[in-house]
Amino acid sequence: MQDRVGMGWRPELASGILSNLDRIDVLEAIAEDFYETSAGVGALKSLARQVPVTIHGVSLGMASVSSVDGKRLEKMARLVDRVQPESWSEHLAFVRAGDIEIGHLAAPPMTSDTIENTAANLAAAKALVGLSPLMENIATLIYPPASDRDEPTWLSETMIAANGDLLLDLHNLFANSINFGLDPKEFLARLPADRIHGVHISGGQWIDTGDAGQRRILDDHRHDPPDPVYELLAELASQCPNRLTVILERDGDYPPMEHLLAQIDRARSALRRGRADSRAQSNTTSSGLLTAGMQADVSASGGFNG
Amino acid sequence: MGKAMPADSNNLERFLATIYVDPTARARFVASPEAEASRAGLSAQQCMKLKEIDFTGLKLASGSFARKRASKQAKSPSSISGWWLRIRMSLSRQEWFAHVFRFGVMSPENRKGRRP
Repeated sequence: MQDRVGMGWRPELASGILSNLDRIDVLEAIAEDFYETSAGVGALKSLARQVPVTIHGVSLGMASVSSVDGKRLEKMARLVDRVQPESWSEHLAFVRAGDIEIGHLAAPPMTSDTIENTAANLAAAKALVGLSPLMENIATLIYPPASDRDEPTWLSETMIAANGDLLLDLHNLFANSINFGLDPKEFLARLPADRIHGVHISGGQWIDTGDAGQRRILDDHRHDPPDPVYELLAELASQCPNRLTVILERDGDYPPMEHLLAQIDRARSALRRGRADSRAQSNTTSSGLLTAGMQADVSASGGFNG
Repeated sequence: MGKAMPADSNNLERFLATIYVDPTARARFVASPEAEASRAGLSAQQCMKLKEIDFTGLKLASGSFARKRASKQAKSPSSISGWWLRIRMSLSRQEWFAHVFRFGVMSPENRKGRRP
C-alpha cells in the first residue's frame, strides 16, 4: 500500500506541474473548468494517460434536501466518460435553492433530512456517472443553521447512510474545529476512518469578525497548509486502513513551484510518520498479546515451577 | 434522484439561500429573525432555531459568498477563452512545444524518476 501525494491542476501552475511530473503522484482537475472546452478535455485525457487524474466537482450541490440537478450530473458523467479518471469527487454542500445561486459551497443544516437526501443524491450520481463520488467535508464561516447534531456526527451518519467514501479536507476540518469550538483531533477520531480514501490539504487565514478579539479561519487556499494540518495528516495515516491520495490545493497567490513541491514532500513525510506510528502501535499490541498469551500458557500449565 | 423532502426542509434551504445572497432580506432577518422566518413559511421549530443563528457567521459567510460570486463573474466572459489560453500564457513558446504537443510521450528520464 503506497499513499500518494499530488496537487490540484490549475492553469496558472501548468508549466511547473508539467515540468515536475516525476515529483507529483496524482493530479486533481476541477470538473467545471472543462465543461465548455473540448480542447481542454482532450488535453486532460492525454494528461490522464501520463499521470493518475481525479476529477473534482464544485457545483452539484449534493448535500441538499433538493434533488441533484440532472443536467449538471449529465455533464459530469460525460466528462468522466471522456477522461476516464481514476475517481471523481464532490462536496457535502448545497450551492443553490431553486433559482437562487449562492455562488459557493454552503453548509446545509445538519439534520436527518439532509442526511437522507444526500444519500439519495449520491445514489443518483453513482447510477448516472457509473462511479460513486468521494464526498468532501466543507469549510464554513457560519455554523450550519438549524442543525440538530454536530459535524462529526453528521458526516459519519451521512457517509454510512449513503454507503459512501470520504474525501477528507483536513484544513476544512481544522478551520471548522477552531471556528466552532471542537478539538480537531477528536473530530478526526470520530470519523469512520475506513471510509476515508482521499485527503485535501490547503491553507487559509485569520479574519476579524468585527467583534472585539474574535477571529475565524477563512479557508481561502491562498496560503500554505499550517502545521496542525500536517499533524492531522500523520494522525489520519496512523488510523486509516486505506491507501490515501492526498491533494495539495492552491487557488491564488501562487508561490514558486519548488515551494509547492516542498509542501508535497512534507505531506509525504507526515504520511510516512503516521504509517510508522500505526505499525509501531500494532507491533506493541501484538507483542502485548503474545506476552499475554504466553502468560496464559504458563498459568494453564501451572506456572514455571509447576 | 432523491425523494421529495418535507416542504419545511425545502423552505429552510430556500430561506437560507435568500439571506445569504440578498442584503435586504438579510437585514430584515437580522432585525427580526423569528418574524422573518415565520413570514417565509418555516415551522415554529425552525423559527426558534433560526432565532439562535450564528449572526457573526452569517455576516462573514454572506460577505464571502458575495466575493465568490463577483470573482466568478469577473472570470466568466468565456473564461478568457477558457483556461486553455491561460495555460498558453503561462508557458513560454519553447515550453509549450516541449510539453503540450508531446503529451503522452514522456522522456525516459522522467519515467525513470516516477515513484511506483
